[in-house]
Amino acid sequence: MKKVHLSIGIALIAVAGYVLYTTRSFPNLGGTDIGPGFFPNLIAWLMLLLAVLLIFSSLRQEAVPAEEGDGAEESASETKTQTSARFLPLFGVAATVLYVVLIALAGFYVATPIFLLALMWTLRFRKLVPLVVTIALITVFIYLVFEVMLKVPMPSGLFG
Amino acid sequence: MFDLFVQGMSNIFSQPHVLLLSVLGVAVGIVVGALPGLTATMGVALILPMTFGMDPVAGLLLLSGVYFGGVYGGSVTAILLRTPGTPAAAATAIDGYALTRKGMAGKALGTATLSSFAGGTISIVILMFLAPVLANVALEFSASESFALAVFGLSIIASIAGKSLVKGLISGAIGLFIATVGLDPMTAYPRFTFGATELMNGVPFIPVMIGLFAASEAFKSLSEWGAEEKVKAKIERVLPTWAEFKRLVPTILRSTGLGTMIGIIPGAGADIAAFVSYNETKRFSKDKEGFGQGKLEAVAACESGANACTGGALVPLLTLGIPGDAVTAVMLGALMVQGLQPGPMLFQDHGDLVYSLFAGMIVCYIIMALMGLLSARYFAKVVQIPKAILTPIILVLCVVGAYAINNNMTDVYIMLIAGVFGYYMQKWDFPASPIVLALILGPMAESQMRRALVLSDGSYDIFYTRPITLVLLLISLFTLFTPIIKAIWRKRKRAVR
Repeated sequence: MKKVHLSIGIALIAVAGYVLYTTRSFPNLGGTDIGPGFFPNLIAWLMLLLAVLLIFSSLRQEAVPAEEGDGAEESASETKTQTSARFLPLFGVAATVLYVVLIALAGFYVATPIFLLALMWTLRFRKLVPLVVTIALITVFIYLVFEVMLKVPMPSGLFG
Repeated sequence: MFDLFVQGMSNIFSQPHVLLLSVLGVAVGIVVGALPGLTATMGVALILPMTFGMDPVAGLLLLSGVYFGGVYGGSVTAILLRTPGTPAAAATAIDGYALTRKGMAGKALGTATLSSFAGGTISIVILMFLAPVLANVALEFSASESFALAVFGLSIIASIAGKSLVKGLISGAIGLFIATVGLDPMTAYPRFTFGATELMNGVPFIPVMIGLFAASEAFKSLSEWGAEEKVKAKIERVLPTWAEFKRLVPTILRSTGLGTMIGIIPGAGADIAAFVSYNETKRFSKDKEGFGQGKLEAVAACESGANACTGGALVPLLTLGIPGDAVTAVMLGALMVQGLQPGPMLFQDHGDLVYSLFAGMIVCYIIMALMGLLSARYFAKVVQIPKAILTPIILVLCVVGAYAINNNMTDVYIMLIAGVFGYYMQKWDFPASPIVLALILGPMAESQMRRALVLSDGSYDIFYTRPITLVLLLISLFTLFTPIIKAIWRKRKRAVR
C-alpha cells in the first residue's frame, strides 16, 4: 500500500504541476472576471497540498509500524484471496477493453456474444446449452430494449 | 398544493405505461438491492440510459422505483441470509437474521416491508410539504448564495470520505479538476481539451457515473469469488398480527422522523439512518437485552429509518440542486437528461410535473409494499443467480448504456476509463462518490463565484456581507473541518496513551 500511496502522490504532484504550468498561458480578459485560470489553479494548489499530505502520512506509517493495523489487514486478505481471484478482475478489465475495441471494429451484435461467451466461460459457466441460451436471450433483450424500443442504433462496425 | 397533488395522482393513473414502468422499476430495484454487491446506485446508473426516450414523469418514476426498491431490497437477503444486500441493511441483518433463526423469517420480512413502506411514504409526504417552502427561500438566492451552496455541497465530501479524509479530499480534487475540462463557462476559453472537440463540452458525467458505480463494481465482484448461498428458511405468514403492528407504530414513526432528517442532511445516507434509528429504538426500549436476539422493533426501526432517507435526500436535490450522496447524484443526472435543472426554478417552471412525481413516488411505495408482501420469498432467490452470468451482463449494460446516451463511442471510452479508474480507487481505498459530487458541484461553484464577483465589481465583500452566503460558508467550513479536528483529537488521545 505504501508504494501505491507514494506513486499516487507523485502522480498528483505531476498533474498539479502541469495544471499550474498550463494555466499561466490562459488568457485573462481583465475587468472584474477572475479569468479561466483561477479555479484550475486553486484546485492544483489543493491537489499539491493533499498529495504532500498523502506522501507524508504514508511515510510516517512506516515509521510507526502496526499502528493502524492497515498493513496487517492487507496481508491477511492477500493470503486469503487465491491467485485465480486476483487474476480475474484484471482479466475482466482486459476482456472489456477488447470488447469495446471489437464493437468499434466488428459491430455490437458480433462483439457482444463473443464477449459474453469468453467471460462466462472463464467464470466457469460451462454447460453448453444454458450458456448459449443465456447469451442469446441477453443479446435479444438488448436489441429489443435499445434498438426497437429506444431506437438507438447500436454501432455496426467498420464493415457494417 | 393539494389540488396539484390530486391532479398528479390522476395523471399517473391515466397513463398505464407510467404505472407499468413504476412496477418494473420497483421490481428491478428489489432484485438489485437484494443482490449483495449491487446497490441502488448501481441500479439507477444502469437503468438511467434507458429513460432517454421516455417522457420525464415515466422515466423519473422508473428510476425512483429502482432507487426505492434498491433501498428496501437489501433487507430481504439481510433477513434471510444475513448477507445485507446493501450497506443500509447491515443493521437490519442483526435482528432480522436472528428472527429467521427463530423460525420467524416471514414475520421479519413482513415487518421490514410494512416499515419500509411507512417510512418511505411518510418521508415523501414530508418532502411534498417541505420542498416548496425551501424552494421559495432558494428562489431569492443570487450568485453569491448559489456559490456558497455549491461550496457547502462540496464540503460534504469530508463526511463521505470514508476511512481516510485525505483520500476522500483527493478524490474530490480529481473530480474538481475533471470538471474544469472543456470550455470555460465565462469566456469560452477551451481548458485542458488537448484539442479534442469531444471534450469541448467537458467530460460528460453520466458515462463517468456508469463507470464508477457500475463497471468498477462489476470488476470488483470478480475478485470476490465465493460460493453462492441458498435460502433455507421456511416462510410462514408474512404479516405481523394487528397487536404486534400496533406496538411497532411508535418505533416506525420515530425512525421515520429520524431517517427523513438524516436524509435531508447531505452526506448522511440510508446506512447511517438505519443505525441511528436502531440505536434510538434500543435507547427507548424497556427490553434492551432483547436487541440482537431477534426483535421486530429493531427490524422496523432500521427499515423505516433507511427508507425514510429517500424522501429526505430528495429535498436538497430537488430544491437546491445539491445531491447528498451517490444515488441522488445519479438521480440528478437523470433529471438533467430530461432537460430539468433541479433547483428552485424546477418548482416554478414544472410544478405540475413535480407533483406528478411526488404522487408517483407514493404509488411506487405502494407497489413496493404489495410486491414485498406477496413475493418477498421469490426475490430472495435472486441471490442464486451465479455471478458468472450476472457480472458479464452488468458489463454489457454499462457499455450499451454509455453508448445510448449520445449514440457515440467516445462516451463508452470515458465510461471504461472511469470504470477501470474506479476499480483501482476502490482497491486502494479511495472513495468514488466525491468525484461525482465534485463533477456536479465544481462547475456550479466556479461559475457562480465568478458571476458574483462580476456583479460586485470584483469585490470579495459579497462573500461575508450577505448573511445567507456567510452562514452557508461558515457551515461549510464547519462541515469540512469537523472530521479533521476529530482525527487530530483521536491521534492526540492515542499519543497520550
